[in-house]
Amino acid sequence: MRRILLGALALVVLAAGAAPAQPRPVIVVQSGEAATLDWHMHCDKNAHEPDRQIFDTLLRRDLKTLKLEGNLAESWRLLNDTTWQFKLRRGIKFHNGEPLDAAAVKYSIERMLNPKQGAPGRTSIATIDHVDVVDASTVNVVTSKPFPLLPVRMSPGHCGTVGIVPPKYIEQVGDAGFAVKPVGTGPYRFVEWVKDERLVLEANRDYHRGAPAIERLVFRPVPELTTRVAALLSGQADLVSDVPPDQVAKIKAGGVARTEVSTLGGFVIMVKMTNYLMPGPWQDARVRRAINHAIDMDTIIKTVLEGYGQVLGVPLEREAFGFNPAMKWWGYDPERAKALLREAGYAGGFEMTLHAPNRRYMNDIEVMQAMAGMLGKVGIKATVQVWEQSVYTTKWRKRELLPAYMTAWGGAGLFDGDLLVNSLHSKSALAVHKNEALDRVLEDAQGTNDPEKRRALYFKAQEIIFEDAPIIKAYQQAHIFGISNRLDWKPWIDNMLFLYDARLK
Amino acid sequence: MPSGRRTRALIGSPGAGLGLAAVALVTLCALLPGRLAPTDPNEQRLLARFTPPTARTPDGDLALLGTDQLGRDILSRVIHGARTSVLIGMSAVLLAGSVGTSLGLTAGIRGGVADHLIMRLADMQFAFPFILLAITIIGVLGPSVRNIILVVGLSSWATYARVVRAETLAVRERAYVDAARSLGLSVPRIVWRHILPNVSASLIVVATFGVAGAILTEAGLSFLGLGVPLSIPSWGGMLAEGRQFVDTRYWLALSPGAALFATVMAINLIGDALRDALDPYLQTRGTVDRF
Repeated sequence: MRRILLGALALVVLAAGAAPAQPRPVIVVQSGEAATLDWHMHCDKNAHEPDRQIFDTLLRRDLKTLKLEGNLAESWRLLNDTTWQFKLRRGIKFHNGEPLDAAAVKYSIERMLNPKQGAPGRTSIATIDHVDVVDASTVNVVTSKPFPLLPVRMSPGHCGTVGIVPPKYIEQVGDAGFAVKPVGTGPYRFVEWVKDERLVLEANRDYHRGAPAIERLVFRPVPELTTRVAALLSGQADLVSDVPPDQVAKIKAGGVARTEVSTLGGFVIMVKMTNYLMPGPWQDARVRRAINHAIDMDTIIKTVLEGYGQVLGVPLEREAFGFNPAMKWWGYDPERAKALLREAGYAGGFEMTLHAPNRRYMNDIEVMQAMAGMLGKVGIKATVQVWEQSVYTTKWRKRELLPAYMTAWGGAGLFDGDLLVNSLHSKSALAVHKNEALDRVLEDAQGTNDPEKRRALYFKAQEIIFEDAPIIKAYQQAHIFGISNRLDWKPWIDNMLFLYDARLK
Repeated sequence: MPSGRRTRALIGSPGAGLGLAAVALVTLCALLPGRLAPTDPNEQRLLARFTPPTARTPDGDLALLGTDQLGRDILSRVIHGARTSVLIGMSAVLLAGSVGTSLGLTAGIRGGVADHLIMRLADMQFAFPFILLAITIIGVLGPSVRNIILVVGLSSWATYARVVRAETLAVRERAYVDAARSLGLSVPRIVWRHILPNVSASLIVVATFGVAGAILTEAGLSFLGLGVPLSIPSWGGMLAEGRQFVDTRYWLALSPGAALFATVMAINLIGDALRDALDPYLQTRGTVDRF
């Protein structure tokens, strides 16, 4: 109780203190709090949201064309098959005054690469062998084999992308100090972090693209979703992400906030089925196709997701490099499903368990229940098993969610066929399916820098996935943001809350 | 007190009468859900989701209590949910009661080390956070009706053990027990013929409240996602699913909540009346001084 009172008092003081000089800070309410603000050391959306304001990357994406363009680096080129050269913009400084130079870039990449550092995104850049400093503003990144995704890994994204960090400062305060008091080159600088209460950032006047319009940003953890929406409606918050569809009408009716939808880069969600870890009908590709035919994903999206999503089939976002727009998927056809089951010798149906996460993706439990209901209509008795988040994560790491479970990839701004490696290569962390032909094609695609070859290989991979049907047709969820009417901001890529161009009306 | 008077005392109390009627209704639902429910509780009609109470679905069917987020009929789910609640409530109490009674009798009759051991175990059980136990057991074994019964049963045996032990300590000193002992009756026979019948009154009262408690616990666990699987309708599970929509579609949580409230209330009313009817002190109050 005392803590709540103190918290309330602090907020009042905070608001009152800021009031005379400038408008109230922009408040972002999040589902939880970051464990660390060290960009290299987390894969956590709640940490990434503030970090994306504090840190910056060598490259960034043009929001209209999705093409990569220079950011901290003004240009980059491929010197040979395994060497990428980046020319840095001159005169950029970290928030503490340290210069952003070739040494800082080398330090940042090698810090993330160092196994002793234990960066969770390390494997995404493990193909990098070392970094050479050519001069103060030129670095060569040398890879052990062709690494076509290198520029993407140098652009904003979740874990697995390289944020540039200040070497001298980290040496001075240590990893532990850096985790709670980060310094970067981003549009906002760190001010203070009161655990469980607030994280305050302020505009970086010297940002290399010009100072942001908003003076202060405050991130507050509010675990309960309805409370986050209530905070938005009562004017105590300006931005809420991951709003469920059923709250949209309520936000609109409130009159103080609006909702914006981002469809770009949303989670690509799929139910994976094993073909070797657990004996059963699902080992037969015909049965997996039948399961796909049984499920009316369009209706699920129209009803359970209230239209906030789109059917993909192959688990690859439409904007991704290598996506084949002509690719089909097994459509809704319960009769065909029954015929395939008869053909495979399961005319009498069978039982299977579908493992579901507990509120990790939009209305995930309901989507799974709807799938189970549709499977029941073709004779497959499917039971949905919901697991607490921590148990779910442990079990999927141990590959115990068998024969089928829901998972997702994307939301990381990768926009590349390489996402198929994460989701379906048999050696990837979360795979439960094995197809050697697919593995080979995906490995070949990773081994060349030639875009045309890569595109052809990803097209081939999508054909194999279609035939093999290792998943129940993938869909992409749209992301709904609740935004207060005083804030002028549009979401672009999911999970990449970037508030540089936000302003108050 | 003659049993006839007890029964009259029980039925005569208006609260208990109401409680009995409600419990009878719930039991009927639990026994014959298929006959009473208008539809299959798991039948999904996605296009008819969120039909408000007393409105008609797009197919023209009347949804008396409305439909939920998957278009399932809430009335049917509430009726079928009664079975889950009653099954778990009764089984958990049977489990807790038999374990607790056996241990309580042993402690009361044997005394000494056995008594100490069992009572310290009971103390530990009382001190152990229930939710932690539930999360551990459900986390390891997975959520199922059997595991819920196990969790609820194993977490409430200590109450029965304490009550039974206390009663046993009092009863075993009575003259008729001494008489039985001197006649050479075996210990199990003495327990069965003389001690158990005399502790049963308290046991029945505790067990009645226990059923209400177990039903609430099941609902709580299902609410937390640690309860019965989704394919089995349960009031707690329905509450958990409805919580998300409580401010936009109130009827999802209203009906299971009301059913839960009414059932627990009814059982508690019966429990109160039972206690009044079975407690010799309360019955004779005013004629004999209590010591």
